[in-house]
Amino acid sequence: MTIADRLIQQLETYLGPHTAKTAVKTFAKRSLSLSPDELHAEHVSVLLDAMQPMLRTLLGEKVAASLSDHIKGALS
Amino acid sequence: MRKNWLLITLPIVVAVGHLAGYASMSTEVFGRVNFLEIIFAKLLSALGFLYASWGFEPGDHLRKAWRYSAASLMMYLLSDIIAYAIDAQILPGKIGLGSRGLVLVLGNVFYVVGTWMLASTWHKAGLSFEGPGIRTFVIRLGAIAIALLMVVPGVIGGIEEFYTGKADMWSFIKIVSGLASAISLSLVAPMLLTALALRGGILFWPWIYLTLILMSWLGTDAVLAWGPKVLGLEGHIKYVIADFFRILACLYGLSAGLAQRSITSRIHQHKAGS
Repeated sequence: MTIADRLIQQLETYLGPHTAKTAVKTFAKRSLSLSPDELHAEHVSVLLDAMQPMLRTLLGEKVAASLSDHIKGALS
Repeated sequence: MRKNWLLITLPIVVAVGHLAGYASMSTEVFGRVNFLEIIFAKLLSALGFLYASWGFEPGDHLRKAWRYSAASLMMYLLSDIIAYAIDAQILPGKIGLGSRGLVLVLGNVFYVVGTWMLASTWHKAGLSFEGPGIRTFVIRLGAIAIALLMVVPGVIGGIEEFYTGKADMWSFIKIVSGLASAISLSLVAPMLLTALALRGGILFWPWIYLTLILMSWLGTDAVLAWGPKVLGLEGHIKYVIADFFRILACLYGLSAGLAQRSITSRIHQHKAGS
């Protein structure tokens, strides 16, 4: 399982599979200029930081930060 | 999952109970029961919205959106209480009508702002809707057309009263309410598209309830605007059926609030368990 797949798996509980996949693809391209297949463990933190405004809007600041920390912990 | 199906079906059961009450009670008893039903439904909806807002931090976009929605329901509730006070001669007519008008206008403003903020969440999150742009455009256009169709008779009625010199404060309120409904109901498209984009995730649930709220309000407006002409609904029955949809709209507000808060609790449990 790739890092992108693991990220999608973590996010899809909240965002659903389609949006989780779109979010990983969009933010990987936007923040790292990479495709999901090119993501490695060291990119996770930067990618999740780039996703923060989206997560904060959908889930609120506290929940978004908790989710982000949880995913960083799970994927490190 | 089971809880969410309960939150979908329970409002329908209560709304059907409202119709059963009309069929089985005398007009006088039903009138009293109906008044209390609507008051409680609006109160539960306002509490649901408020409860959802407590899951967010100050400055969060959705905290403000849920709070504006709660404020609109509180204003509508206050308007019903003022109407009761006028009928019961607790409040003098002129003061009562003036304050009710003000409260209704405020309620409509909060309703539009709250719905607008909720509907713009997807865009604000920096995401775009899935599927071809033309499909999204057609869904949006369809929702705007339906919303306009539902509110046009009320707005035209209000404008006609100005032209024929019969206008009073209620003519103005008819126009304001009609425009507020048109704006809010046309936002059913982004709300539905947001829910659909989130399907399979737990965030789907509050958004599908928010969509059901707007669809139910659309039902209320449709019955009031077109019920007599299209379905031959005259007298009491028109209001009974409009209230069926009103109860649905309000109780889905409670469902939306509960679903939103369960997400906040879930992430905290998740964190505690990790």
